[in-house]
Amino acid sequence: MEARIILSRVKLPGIFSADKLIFLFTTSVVVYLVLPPIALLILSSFKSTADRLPVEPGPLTLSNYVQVLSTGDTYLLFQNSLIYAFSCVVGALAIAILMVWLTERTDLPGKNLVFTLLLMPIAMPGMVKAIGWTFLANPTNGLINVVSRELFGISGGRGPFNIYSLSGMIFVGTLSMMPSLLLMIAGAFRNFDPAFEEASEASGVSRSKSQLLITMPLLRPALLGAFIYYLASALDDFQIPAILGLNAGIRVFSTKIFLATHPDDGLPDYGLASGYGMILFVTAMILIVLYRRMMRKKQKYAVVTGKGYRPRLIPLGRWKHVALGSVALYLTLAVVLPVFILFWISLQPYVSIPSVEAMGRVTLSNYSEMLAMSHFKEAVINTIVISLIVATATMFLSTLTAWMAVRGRFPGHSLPDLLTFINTAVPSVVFALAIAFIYLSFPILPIYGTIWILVIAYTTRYMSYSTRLMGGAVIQIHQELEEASQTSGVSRWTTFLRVTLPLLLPSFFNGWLWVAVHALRETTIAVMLFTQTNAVVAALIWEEFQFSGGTGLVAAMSVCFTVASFILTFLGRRALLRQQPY
Amino acid sequence: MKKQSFFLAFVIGAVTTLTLGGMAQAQKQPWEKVLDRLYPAAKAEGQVTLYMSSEFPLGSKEGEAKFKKRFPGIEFSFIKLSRSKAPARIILETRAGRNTVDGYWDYPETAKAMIDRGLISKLNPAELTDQPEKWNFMFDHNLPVVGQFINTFYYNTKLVSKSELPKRYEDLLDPKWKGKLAMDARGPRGFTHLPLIWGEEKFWRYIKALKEQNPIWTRRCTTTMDKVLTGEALIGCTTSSLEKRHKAKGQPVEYLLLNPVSVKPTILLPIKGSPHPNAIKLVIAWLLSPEGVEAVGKTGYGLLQPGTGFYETLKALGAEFFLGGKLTIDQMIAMGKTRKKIGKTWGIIK
Repeated sequence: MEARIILSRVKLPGIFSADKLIFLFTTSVVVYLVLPPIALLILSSFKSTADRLPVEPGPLTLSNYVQVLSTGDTYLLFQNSLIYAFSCVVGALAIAILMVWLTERTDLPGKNLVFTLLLMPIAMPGMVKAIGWTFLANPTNGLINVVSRELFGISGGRGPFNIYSLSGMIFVGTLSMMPSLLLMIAGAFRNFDPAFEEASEASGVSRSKSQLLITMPLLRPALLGAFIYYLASALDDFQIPAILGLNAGIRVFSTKIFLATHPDDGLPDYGLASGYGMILFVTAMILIVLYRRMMRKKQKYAVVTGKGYRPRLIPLGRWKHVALGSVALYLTLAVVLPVFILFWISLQPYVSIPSVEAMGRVTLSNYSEMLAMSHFKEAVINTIVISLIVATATMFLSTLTAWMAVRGRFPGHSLPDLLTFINTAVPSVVFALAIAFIYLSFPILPIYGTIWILVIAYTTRYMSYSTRLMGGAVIQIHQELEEASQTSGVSRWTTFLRVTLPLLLPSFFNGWLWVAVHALRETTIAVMLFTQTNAVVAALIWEEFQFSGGTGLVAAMSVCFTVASFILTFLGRRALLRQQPY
Repeated sequence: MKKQSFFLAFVIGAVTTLTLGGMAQAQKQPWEKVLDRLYPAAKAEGQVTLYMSSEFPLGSKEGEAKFKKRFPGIEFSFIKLSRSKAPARIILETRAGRNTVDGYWDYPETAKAMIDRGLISKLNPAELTDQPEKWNFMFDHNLPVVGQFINTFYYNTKLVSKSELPKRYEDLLDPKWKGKLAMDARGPRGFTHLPLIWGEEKFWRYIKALKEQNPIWTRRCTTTMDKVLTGEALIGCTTSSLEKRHKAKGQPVEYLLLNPVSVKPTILLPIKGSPHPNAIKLVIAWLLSPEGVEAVGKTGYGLLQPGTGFYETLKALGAEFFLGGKLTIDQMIAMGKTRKKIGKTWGIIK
């Protein structure tokens, strides 16, 4: 083996070797995309921006750091955020592992439909899900509470459930996060070679113990990658805590960033927001360093080898009904109820709790209002085109980044990977401002006002997710497969395209789907960058929601996105199964 | 003979046309003449685009149709963009000399960031209206007040009868409203004028007592209104016009006017270096014309003028507007500060 590695090194010498060229290309693109927002975050954090933009002239100062670090609130809110984020990620990851194991590794009936259904909520913005749950479980007249009170004769006119609580926030946050985590780890489960489990079982270890002692540790890269990405993201999550935590008196760290960037009058205080963002930035750095330390012995996790890779489905036997029951319970809570309430709101002339009386008011007016919005047709075309391009570009770039990080052999090979991840810590509004500033002030590429500025912005933003996803998947593939190809005279680049990429297909597809759906529904970045000529649907409709009366429209949009995501997932899964029919 | 007849017919026709045209011109109202003066230059630009954070600038599709009918050849469009984003975009675009919009409609305090940077075109009120003394032009740029938002309360008409409704601000402290009020946790604008009437001490005592009513906290107008519509809250306080979005759709919500009602002016700023500087002037002039005032006045965010639909609706409900709706920029800034202080005093979101 060592001899082959040496041979491979000898075969690709000089500064123009294929892997170095790929490294240079990937690094240049990633640095070009990611560095400006990070640079603006750091610069802003050192500028007083109460009445000016960070890109406008002004002295450097430590005042933002003094304000951030001297307020006792910062620590309390960060602690609240950590509790919320950690609980959601752990809960969502546990459910995702169970669901992905059932749909990828067992003979669960109808598992492809189940997998597609599980992903449906991914198209709903977090805020819409939270609002939906207030209609279902607010203590006063939430549907579930009203029905429960009727059924169990509970008096008092309140409860028994209260979505305005820490447990309510964690519950909705967990359900909201699960589909994305599922996508992130599904590829790794799908690629898993059951030979390891079989060897364990042949040695007398029970199946469940084998799963726990063999499968889980071997899937550590994917699970850990998903965990750290979502821990960093959940710390920045504002939507669910803002809606559900407000009435429970639970404030989170991201509230500070929101308040700094959404003033009642005057300009947003980007400097202060960046000061808070720097805390997330440092947290993200610590997380990625920990991840790297834990993943040092990459070969330990290579489960896709050249030795008769033969996926095997585990028969559920008598547990089939329990499995179906748990899937049904989850689907009811995470898919049926939120999708139902969303659909209900979209069919009402104004938001109302489902009732027999309200049935008489069912109308398609929100949909017709949506279709009648100015620029809507152009926005639909732009949205679809942007979504497809962004998903494809992001996944190719992320795959290369992850591949370089895992397989690279020269100094700095993991720099793009590091940059993409810490990019997660840049607050979305600061990120969008950086992109607008760059393409307005330095017209390197004259793309302001075109769809390409959105393509670049989204690609940059989503690379942090997809690179984590692909990183876990690349580690799974044993280097011997690539080495075998190269010793047969095939170049490293062709090997990547012909050997590595097909093996990464399940993860690649899952990442593509996640990015495509998120690009469909992206709002924060889009509203800062869209003009008349590059309008996108989510930005058009989201701005309606800022003013009273837009909930029905946002619900109608979310229903359309949910249907689109269902179709995309369904078709994608079918194509994937044709490629890998197991 | 034929030639003579033809010549005679031509002369008669020409004289008739000129006479009728002259009469029509003479019959035109002064405000129409103002618009006619501005129209040719605007038409040559052919287009106008606005940013607006809230509603439809020309008073719904109906208003837009009127504008288009009066000014054929000018394409009007607007981009809805919240006030946390629009000023930053305008500053960046103007600095780069690449403006994509011509005007921005929002609160004067928000506009101040752009005025301070000299990003606003100066206007001459006499060029825009035949009655410059009638309208409120703010700042030394003579930026026109083109709309007025009312900040007041709303109630669910299915769940609360008229007789039960609070009559004064103090009535909101009645225990029967405990847990039944929906309030913006950052401080509802509907209270911010009260320190100017009651004095600071009474006002802050009131605000603290209001928190003891355990309101259902929100942080945006949409959510506040949704809480009232679904019946989770019975009364909400937010900035919203019910006319177009709610009452027109038969929603069970009505104004609860506690006097004096807080009114907040909005202005339309022409952006310096905009691609269509004459067209934006025409839009402003039209908004200050009786036709524009009436069109936007129906919606609930136009100018509160006697004779317009929204004004008459509120007056019929007994509304009295704080300072007659004419606030100075200093009063508005003071009210903005009060709002922030309410949010801090409540401490729900800070």
